[in-house]
Amino acid sequence: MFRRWRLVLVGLLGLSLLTLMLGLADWMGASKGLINGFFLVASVIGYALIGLFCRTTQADEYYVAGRRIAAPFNGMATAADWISAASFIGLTGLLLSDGYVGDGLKAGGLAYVLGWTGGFCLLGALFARKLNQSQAITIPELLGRLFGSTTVRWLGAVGAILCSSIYLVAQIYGIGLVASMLSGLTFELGVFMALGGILLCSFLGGMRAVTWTQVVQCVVIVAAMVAVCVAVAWRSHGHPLIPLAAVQSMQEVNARAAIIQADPAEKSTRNAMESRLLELELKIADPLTARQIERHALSIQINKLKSENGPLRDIQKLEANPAWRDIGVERMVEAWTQERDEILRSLRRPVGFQGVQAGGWNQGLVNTLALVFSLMVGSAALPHILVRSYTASSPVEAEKSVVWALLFIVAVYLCASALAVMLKDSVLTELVGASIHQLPDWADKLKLRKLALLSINDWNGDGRVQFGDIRLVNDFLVLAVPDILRISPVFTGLIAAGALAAALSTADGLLLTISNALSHDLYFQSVDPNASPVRRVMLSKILLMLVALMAAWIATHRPVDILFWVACAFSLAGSTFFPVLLLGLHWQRMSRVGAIMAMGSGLAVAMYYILTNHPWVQLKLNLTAHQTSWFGLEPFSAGVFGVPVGLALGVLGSWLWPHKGFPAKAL
Amino acid sequence: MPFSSSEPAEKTQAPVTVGHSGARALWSMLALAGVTVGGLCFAWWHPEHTLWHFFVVTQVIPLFYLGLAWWTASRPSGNSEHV
Repeated sequence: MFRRWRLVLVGLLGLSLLTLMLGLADWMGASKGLINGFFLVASVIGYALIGLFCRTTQADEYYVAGRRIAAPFNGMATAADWISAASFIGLTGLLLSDGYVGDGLKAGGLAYVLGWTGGFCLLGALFARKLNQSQAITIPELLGRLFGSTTVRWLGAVGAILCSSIYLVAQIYGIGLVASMLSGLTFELGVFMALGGILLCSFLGGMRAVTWTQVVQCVVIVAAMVAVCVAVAWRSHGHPLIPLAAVQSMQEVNARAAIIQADPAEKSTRNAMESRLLELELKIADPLTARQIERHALSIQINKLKSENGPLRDIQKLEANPAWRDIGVERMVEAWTQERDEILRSLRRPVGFQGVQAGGWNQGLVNTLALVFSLMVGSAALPHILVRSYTASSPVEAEKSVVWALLFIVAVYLCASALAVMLKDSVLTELVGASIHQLPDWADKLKLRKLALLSINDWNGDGRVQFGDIRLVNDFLVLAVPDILRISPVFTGLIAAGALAAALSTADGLLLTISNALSHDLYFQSVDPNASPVRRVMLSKILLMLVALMAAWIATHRPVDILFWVACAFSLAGSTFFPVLLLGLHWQRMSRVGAIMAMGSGLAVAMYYILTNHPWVQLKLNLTAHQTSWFGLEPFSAGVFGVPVGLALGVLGSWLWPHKGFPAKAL
Repeated sequence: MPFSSSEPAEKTQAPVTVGHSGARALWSMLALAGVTVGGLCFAWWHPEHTLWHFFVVTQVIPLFYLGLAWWTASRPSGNSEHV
């Protein structure tokens, strides 16, 4: 046991030493790119070394780390497995942008804080002990044995592959963005560099290597978040007490928000935005006439500029207008729709943490409750999290490891929530009201990044920045915290190391889940059931590599909106596995047919709702949100439909086709 | 019927039996649902109290979940029948 704690201590000391060394390098004038790049490379090498030391070809070690991981370490590995890039770097930006209670229509930031933490109570209370007792290797295998059915096992494997793949692509995309933003590499190179790190951990040592890498990654994630928050609290309020600093900042945010909301300049900005919104609505309603009118107006302006030898940049800007370019009406409407949605989002964004019309029973609260439900059941049913119960040394340890995992997850989220408040304080105090030609130095830096994290549009043309003029890229805003709050650039490297650890650890777990489902549950189950353990491990490794390469290839096509797809993965996992596990492990009459109906219907309903409400599908099938949305709920909350349908059909199927005589379930 | 009993049964390794998770798990679920819905309703009915949202919903409730998970996990092992 002490040897294991030594690994945690070494991880912590290594990170501290690296931070100190790079702090020294910063003090001596080393470039920021060099510091960040060194952090990234050092982290990947460190994780790869652990993977190398833990390499194995033994089946039990490869699939379930020998089933002898003590609760604290299993909990740390679970936490690292669970804290993804989206939650590590996305939550702070989301709280900062959407506020706590949202805009009265969409879910507020509180939904993510509660949904992502509460799910572990479900996992601990309902599943952890029983999963460990089953001594299975994968979730589909457990389901297959529980109901004595190959069909159930195959359906489980398909569900596990589907939700883990969506999650995996989002993680690899996040890794590519972090690596390219901080090291100066291209996005594609960033993706493949990170892929190398993932493969070195999971390919050589399977679950054993991934477990011990994740233990160190958990140390890095928690230490990075806490260290950054302490530095920000110290810089903002002169003390290291994070919650107290956030409370102080919140009072300032509230006072500043009241002033901004009453400012006539802010009101004129919003009026200008609303006018543009109206203009766009008219254009979308009659695009052909709108294009004709706009083209005519543009040609007059362009000709005038050309005749006056006007700046080329201004001419190019006018020529970039979708109405001027020779593009199809469909694409033009798409561009106008995007602009309209962007303005709508900006108008609804709360100045402080409170929406203007967010109170009482409204669509925002309904969406929030639905999202909390989907995230909770999803957290309790994600296959790569569930398999962590198999690696614990006993059922009691499996349940305790859930508590340890929650301890680390809560630590990260408490800090992320506090960081959002301190960050918003700086944005409202320093940026709002500044001259458009003399922005704070950090704002200029953010605008000029390869991926611009900030853009400003002077809507009312008064030469000053109003809140409505600001557009921040919230997904990656945390990476700019050291710039905004003027703390050492070493912290940028530290945040990047934390984000990379979060994404790599989740990607490792997902990759193992997918490759094990493909090899253990599909291939060996149907094609080669008598394969030797060594052959099984080898094929798992080959499939793991193929899946990783395919996911990286998809990620290089830049699927947008990481948080959206991550939330969708939660809904799919919840809908597919939560009903069947809940009924299968806690209701003695659950039958094979009931299990198939529960999984199939849950997955189908969630999938249908996500797909029909996706903007791309709606555009292709000429559908509107009013036609496809149920009760106005957002597509990533599909679990709120999938889980009840799965439960209902699971019960119905078991009543109509009761299963008799299967010994393993002791019915 | 598409799912007949002639379907090949899975080989079993360890017994997987089914049963209740105990009263503590049930209370834990109820507390989880109650506190979550209560916390969110408090936030929506008093949207102007952002300081309280920060303090109660983003700080205290996640800590409550942690306590709840610990309380559930510390049930006597005999309470969880062999499954």
